[in-house]
Amino acid sequence: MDACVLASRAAVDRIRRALALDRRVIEPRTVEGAPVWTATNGEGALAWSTAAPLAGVKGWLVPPREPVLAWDDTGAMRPVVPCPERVAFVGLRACDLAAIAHLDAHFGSDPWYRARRAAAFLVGLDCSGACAGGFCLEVDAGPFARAPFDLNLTALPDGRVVVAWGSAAGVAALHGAGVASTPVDDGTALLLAELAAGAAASFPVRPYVARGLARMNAAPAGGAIADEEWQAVGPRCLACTGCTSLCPTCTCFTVVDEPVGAGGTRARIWDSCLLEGFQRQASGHHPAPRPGDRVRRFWYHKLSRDFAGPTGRLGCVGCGRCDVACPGTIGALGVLAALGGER
Amino acid sequence: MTTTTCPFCAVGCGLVLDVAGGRVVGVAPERLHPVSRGQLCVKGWNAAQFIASPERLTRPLLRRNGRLEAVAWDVALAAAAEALAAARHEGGPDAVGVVASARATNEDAFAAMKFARAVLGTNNVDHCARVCHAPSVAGLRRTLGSGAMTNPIADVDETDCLLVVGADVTENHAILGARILAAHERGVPLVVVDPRRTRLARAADLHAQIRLGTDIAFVNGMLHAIFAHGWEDRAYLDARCENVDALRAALARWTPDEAARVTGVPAAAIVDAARLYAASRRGWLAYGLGVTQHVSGTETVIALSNLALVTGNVGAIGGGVNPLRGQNNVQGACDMGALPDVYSGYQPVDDAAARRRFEAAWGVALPSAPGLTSLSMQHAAHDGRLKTLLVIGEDPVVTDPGGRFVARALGRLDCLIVAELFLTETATCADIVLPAASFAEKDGTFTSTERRVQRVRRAVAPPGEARTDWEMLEALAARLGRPMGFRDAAGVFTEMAALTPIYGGMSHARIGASGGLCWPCPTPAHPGTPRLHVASCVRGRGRLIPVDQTPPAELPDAEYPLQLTTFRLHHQYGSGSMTRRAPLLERENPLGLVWMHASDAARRRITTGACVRVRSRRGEVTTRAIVSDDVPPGVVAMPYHFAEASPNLVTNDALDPIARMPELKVCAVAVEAC
Amino acid sequence: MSVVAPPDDFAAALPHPARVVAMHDEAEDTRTFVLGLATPVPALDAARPGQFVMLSLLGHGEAAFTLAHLPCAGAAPGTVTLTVRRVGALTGAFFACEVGASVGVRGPFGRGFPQDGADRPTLYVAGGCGLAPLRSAIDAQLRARAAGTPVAILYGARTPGSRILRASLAGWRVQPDVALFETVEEAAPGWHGRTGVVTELVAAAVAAVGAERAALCGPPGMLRSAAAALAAAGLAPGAIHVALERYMKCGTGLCGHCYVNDRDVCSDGPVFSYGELLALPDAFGPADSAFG
Repeated sequence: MDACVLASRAAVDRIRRALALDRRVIEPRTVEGAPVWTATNGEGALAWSTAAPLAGVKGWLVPPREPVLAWDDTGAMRPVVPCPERVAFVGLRACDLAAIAHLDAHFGSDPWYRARRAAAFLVGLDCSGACAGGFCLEVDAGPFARAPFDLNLTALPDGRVVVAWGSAAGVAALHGAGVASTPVDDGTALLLAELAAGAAASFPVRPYVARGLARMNAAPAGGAIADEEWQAVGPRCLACTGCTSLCPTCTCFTVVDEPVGAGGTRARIWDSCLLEGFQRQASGHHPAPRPGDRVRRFWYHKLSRDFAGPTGRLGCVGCGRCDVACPGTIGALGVLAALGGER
Repeated sequence: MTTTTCPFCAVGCGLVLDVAGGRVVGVAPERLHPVSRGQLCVKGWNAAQFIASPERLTRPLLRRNGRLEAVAWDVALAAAAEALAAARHEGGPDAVGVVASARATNEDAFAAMKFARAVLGTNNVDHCARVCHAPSVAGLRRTLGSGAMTNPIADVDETDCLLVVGADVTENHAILGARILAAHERGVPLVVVDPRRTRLARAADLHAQIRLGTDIAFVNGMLHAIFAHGWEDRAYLDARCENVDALRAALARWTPDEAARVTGVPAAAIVDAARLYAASRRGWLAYGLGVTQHVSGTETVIALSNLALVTGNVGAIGGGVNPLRGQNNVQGACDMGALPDVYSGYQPVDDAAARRRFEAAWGVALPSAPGLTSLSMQHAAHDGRLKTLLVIGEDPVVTDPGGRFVARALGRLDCLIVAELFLTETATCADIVLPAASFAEKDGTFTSTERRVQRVRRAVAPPGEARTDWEMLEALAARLGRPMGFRDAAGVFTEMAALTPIYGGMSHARIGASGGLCWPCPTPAHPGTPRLHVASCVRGRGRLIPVDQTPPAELPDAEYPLQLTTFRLHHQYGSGSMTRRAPLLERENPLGLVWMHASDAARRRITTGACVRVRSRRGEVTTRAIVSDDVPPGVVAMPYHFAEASPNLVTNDALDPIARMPELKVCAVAVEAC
Repeated sequence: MSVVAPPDDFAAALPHPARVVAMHDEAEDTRTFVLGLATPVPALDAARPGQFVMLSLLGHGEAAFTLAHLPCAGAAPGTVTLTVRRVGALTGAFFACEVGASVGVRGPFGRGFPQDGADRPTLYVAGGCGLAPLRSAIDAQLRARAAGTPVAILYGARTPGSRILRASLAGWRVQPDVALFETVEEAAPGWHGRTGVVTELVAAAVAAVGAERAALCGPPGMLRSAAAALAAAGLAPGAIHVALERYMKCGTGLCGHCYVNDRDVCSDGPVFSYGELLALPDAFGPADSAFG
């Protein structure tokens, strides 16, 4: 394991302040009662127990609006090259890191994404147990983090902290902070394993999740679920786009031209496959004309192994944000409950 | 990150604006908001788009040689002040008028009403509540003493029966509509009364698909059944209501069979609806524009009030009579007195004591006779009696009825001044256009449909030279020699609260700290009032008023054989000036459309997507058809958001005699393929 | 993921500037545009039948159009030929362009029709505007085939007036070893050809040329039934190639609009074998579709 042990949580705060020397450090902080990604400058102590904010870090890596091209009054075009601020996200949970692995795979060839991603330093923070509405365990995305982090933190009950590194930048940051560390000995490794097992055991028993996932993945593609089931769920989708906006693995965008005088800007803006217009063709043909068709398509994308990323994990990372955002109570757990015969 | 209140619809969801580089780049829901609880509808999720639209107005415009040209504020304000002064000089104070905005803040609306009354000296001030819930204000004030929603949205989770009349809640108040659907899924019976098969109607236990404009017959049929079966709340009627015997006597002819004959709904279904609602411990009754936008709008509101009173639901947890206000701050604009007959807090202008209070505070003599409604101002403009009109953030050319009349009437003004975000259809007709700040660019408050007063916070600077409404009104007042003394939004609120008992205990600081307060909140220690009429009605005893069925002003005939009704789409808001600048929203419904039943379509050889012409006695509009069982045979339905295919070119401007509400919800039309 | 993209990668994502150099109307609401590229774009000259480009009109956006003529089928290098039906805002703006108007082109994108097999008897089945994407495939095969290789073309239009590429049709009609079958759904005065849908002619056309492979383009309903008819007539699903159409915003597999099950039409297609499509239940969409 590429990891070492810090004697105290205070050492982590030294790393955070060192990161803040040449980056904006962004961390979950409780604002008006709810966790929000907040620029902290590394000040104060890390909020170890603050849950993942409802709005994740996707908006930094894939902004809701990304200008890609500008033209002037002569019609000459130039690319809009982003100059992203250097940031460090400290306190990313396993679900969000698993989601960034999906984004990396999806946008790997895209220069706009690469520019933003290269400016972001990722510090993970392992969860000690299940959060409200989270089911990362059932979709193999947590509660302990895996790549792609630069550094990852696991708090031990005795006050020590295990720091793992996943990149050269992570190693450099660790060294740069000048904190003392010791190797991960057998006793600590055992403790880590116990912590992971304890975290896993803290999840509520939800047999419908496994049943729903199994039905979603039975051959042929989604065919185990009758069309009528989806058409019954469909009217509950108000097409608010909340799930796709908050989903940390949703990547769809549309492209809009914004003329200003004789010039203008072409920008990508977030889109949602749950909107009726998402796939409606100019000819009027619609591959998914009914709400149930669109709900099925969305959840198939999230819950089918056909969309497993390079890590082999599902497009859904179990963060539970869609269940919060969905006015129709058909977020991931809501839909799995329906598919798994729970309601 | 700036926490504020969503500017679309009156549910009042909590919205967080994400700002980067001086621009609102994204939005997120407010996780712990008491009403929206981390959710938004599609309009809220797309709120960032219009704010930064390059089409925003950034400089004042002045018409010169027939064209609107950009000018300095000084020039525009001087021209506006001159036009207002000239009109007053020529025709007296009532030759000018102000149409305030149900989208702007309470502070803006209060400033608009003070500007009209104290600066211009006229009670000619109104706003679009005239075309949405004026009958609610008129009707419920007569029966209960207060014209607002009686119970909170949260009562949807506390009720035993949901009765929704003439409201497409999942589309127009989506977060509330979803809460109704969720309650229904938990087993709460849902009864929907609507001529259209809405999403809620399809889910409902009982959908009473009444003929257009027969609500009173339906409700009277229910009341007849309630009394016939002894489902009324006798103890409540004895203790808290008046005029019971008169109501019972008037209901005698409204047997379920008679109600069935008029409404087209089977008598058994009317009795079922009565049983579900009245035999439940509590029933949460909500209604929308399907009730109010009729010549019988006020009487229909009274009928619904009768229904809730007879069943003991007024003042009860999980009960109530709940008009679902349309625009984000239409409740607030009414509360602020942007109405021709009342000051803020519904204090009548013809009440000498109230008038003296405002005269003392403002140091001017105020007119005592109620002013003109917005539609009357249009007629006065048409007749030459009104010479200069200031329209703030409204687009009556698109949203008001009567064909081309509105544009023609506005065209006869000496001067039309419009304060707007965009060059709307109405702004295009203006002589002076003042660029306004959007909700994201100003501080203030909105009051939601449940009377919840919430903070609006400035996240970014207004584009270019745009200003908030109260700022431009203050500047205009100064030029007219009567400055209003407003320095910031909090100060406007403070003056308003001091003059408005129902807001008396509120301040920006207090509202911001508590996540909003529901009025009445008379003192700084008062916790606010989520539920009205708890111990007794605001007016004392609840008044039962017999009302009788009035047919729509225009019925179908051989020449115009179909009935047109209007409705709103989930993805659009009002005349679309904001939502149509959001590419995803605009993509969802790229056209003005008319929904029609397959039987009517087949007879005319019309298929989905076909170009059709909709004609009435007042005009015609060309659009495309959607063949759908959302509407019954004989009825066609059009959304009103699209200027290029506006149903208001054909709708009827016949008025409710009490509330002066035009009958937007029904007229006779012919439809043909073109 | 720690490597910042070089500036060239951003520039490479820009549309290539081009101008409208010629245009002619094909039928009601359908027009062929010939675009001249401002500077040579080797990749566009080397494009294969069935590939597409993103046409860019500044201020109006971009849309995907299959290349209707190609250097490999006889077109002049440095040109891009698109046959476009006016259906929406962007195509409306394109129709408003005059010769000389500036446009932009990105591409070519996607997987076209198979490049081998010019010597095998082939049936092309086109419905409506679907003839345009097949045009370069047909012309490329006619140029590359061994003498005597039979080719059949089956074209169904809605009405006689909506038939497009009439010059190409006339040319193919007189080519040796080319069998052209035309049909319209609604006849009109002066129409002496067949009336009916193309699917009804598939079996006869396969038999007429002994087709071993087929290429299809047209409305989804027609694709579904024609592909099934071809399979029923004995063609292997792997030898039936179908060009799908989807709403697209990027062309490069990122924007998500064109996904069909777990495949992207823009980068995995737009040409799929029928064998592949049988594993993609969403390929043709439900039969009943508003505005269809």
